[in-house]
Amino acid sequence: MDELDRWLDEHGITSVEIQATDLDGTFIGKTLSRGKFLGGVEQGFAFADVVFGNDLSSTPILGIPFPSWRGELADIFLRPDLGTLVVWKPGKAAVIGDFWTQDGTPVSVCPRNLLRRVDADAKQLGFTVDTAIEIEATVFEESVREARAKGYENLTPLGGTSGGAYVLAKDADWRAYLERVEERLRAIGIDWEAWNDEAAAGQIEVNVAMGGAVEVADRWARCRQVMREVAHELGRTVTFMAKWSDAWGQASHLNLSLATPDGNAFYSPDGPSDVMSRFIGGVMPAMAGTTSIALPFITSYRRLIPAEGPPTTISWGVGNKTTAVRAVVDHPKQSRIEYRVPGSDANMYLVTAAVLGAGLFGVRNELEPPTALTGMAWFRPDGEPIPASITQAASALEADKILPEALGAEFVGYWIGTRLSEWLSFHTGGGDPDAGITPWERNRYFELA
Amino acid sequence: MSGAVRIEVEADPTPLVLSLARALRESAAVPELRDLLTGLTGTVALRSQLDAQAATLLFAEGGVDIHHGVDEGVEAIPLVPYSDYALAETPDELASAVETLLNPPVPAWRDAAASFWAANQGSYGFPEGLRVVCQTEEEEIRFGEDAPAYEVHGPADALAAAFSGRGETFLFAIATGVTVVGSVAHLSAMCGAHWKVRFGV
Repeated sequence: MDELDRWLDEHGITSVEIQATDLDGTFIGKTLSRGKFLGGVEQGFAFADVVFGNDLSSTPILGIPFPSWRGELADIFLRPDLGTLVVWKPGKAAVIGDFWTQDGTPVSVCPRNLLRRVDADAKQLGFTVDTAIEIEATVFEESVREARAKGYENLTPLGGTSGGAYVLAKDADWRAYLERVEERLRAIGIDWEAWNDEAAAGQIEVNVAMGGAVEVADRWARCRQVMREVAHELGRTVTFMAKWSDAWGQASHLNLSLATPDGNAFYSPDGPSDVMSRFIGGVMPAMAGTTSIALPFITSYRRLIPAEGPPTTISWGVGNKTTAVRAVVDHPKQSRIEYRVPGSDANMYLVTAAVLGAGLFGVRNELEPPTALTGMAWFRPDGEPIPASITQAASALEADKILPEALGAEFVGYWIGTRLSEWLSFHTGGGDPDAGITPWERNRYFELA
Repeated sequence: MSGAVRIEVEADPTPLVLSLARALRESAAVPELRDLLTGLTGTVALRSQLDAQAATLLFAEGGVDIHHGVDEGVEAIPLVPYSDYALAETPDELASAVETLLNPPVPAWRDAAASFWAANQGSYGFPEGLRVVCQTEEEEIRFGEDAPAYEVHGPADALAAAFSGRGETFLFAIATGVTVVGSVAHLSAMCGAHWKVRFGV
């Protein structure tokens, strides 16, 4: 505690933001005075259990069985992980935490808890996990107030509407936004690797650096928050909706490999290693169920259009970006899988936990993967489609046998309930599955997804 | 008896499609309504006045296929899907028959409660006991003999509607005079149980 006190002194900290994500991936937390923070850092800080019980419109999700930690708006406790303590801005620190119950057990559906648990499973099998996440978003010239006033429609993409991906001939406003994001990431200490223009107008990609599974998911959550804060600071707005218009959608590709003290366990000089093959052998049969987590919202599924980039079939291939899993092989450092299903609106703690958990299941049980696809995975007559709606994906998850073991039956049952509630809210709240992206979706997802 | 009547819904049905199918299945269990249903031929489209949902019902060969949306060339009839299904006035005889079929007799509150209990008893999170108190008849019924009971109190018609899946959610019942005694967890489970009955899943 003395050390923590000294750290706060040295950095001139007067307040601390405690941070977490809810099931929908929304960044949540509280700002605490320095004294309050120091007083509760060991026990954790109380939040009502509706943190994991309300939907994005703050409506209580009813209709699902409650786990034992949910009560009459019972308290659960966000316990800071001091390894994540950073200076967020002058005078203000930030720390990420995990949710625990009053009796000191981890909250079963807390996304970071889940990922920590699956990451620990990997360690038990003798592996460390390396991941990287690609963050795609769209930035607009309008401020968030203007965007709200326009119902998040007819907005002006920052950087103009001409061109394709990777264009450097962008205007100064576009550069100013991304350079400010870069500056904030550096100041906070969030390792990043690259940023660039992406395919749709106003669309950008920011890559956080490779690292441990939990560490990278933390970077993902904080990087998105920084992108939002910078947008607000510069009078712009940004969205992580998987698709905000009829233009190309946006993703959160997950890159993942396992390592042993001898090096990258996915590497073999002649194609996928046995470990990589078995990992894919677990990932593939769980892919339909994992889709519920990787494509969490109604709008997420609108991105699944063949030939526009996203995978549309349950498939994998070597060096094949039309498949759902691209295996990168033959390189001692870069051998990995790229899991290409998640939308930019996915909670990447949960996606990483699901993919890692399924892959480890394959390694443990020595599962052989299906045959790798060669050629284009889109438009095939024999391709098994990725679930095309929130209900299809929920049904696939309900039928899945791997994910309840990897993530816990309690989480899986709870998650399915929240997705069915999302489906019901959409249809009974004004959403239309046959229209383009509806106002219901924009109002619900534009700022918070 | 309803097993012989074909009532099909599309793959990946919407809530409206599911609830219309449930109402028609109930009608198919009533002899005179079953005869009405199996004798219909033609297409009716309904558009909800409360949200953006719509459904098309195709009656043919003694059965019905239901899918979401309005088929091209079919004029949708406004639908108010509260506890009952009310269609806007129309001279269309098929539509009038459909309105009748969408409003099968509501079972007596005791029967509705017993069916509700049977459909959900033992489901994860569902109360181990259920006490239903009918305030208008000053009677009660209890399920799950010795277990602590979740209590539902209300007038007979509101209880019957709630337990037979009328209204969008179980909370609709509370808006119509039903009160409950129990935990938030059990309220959530009751809402889930109501979906199960309402959507026939």
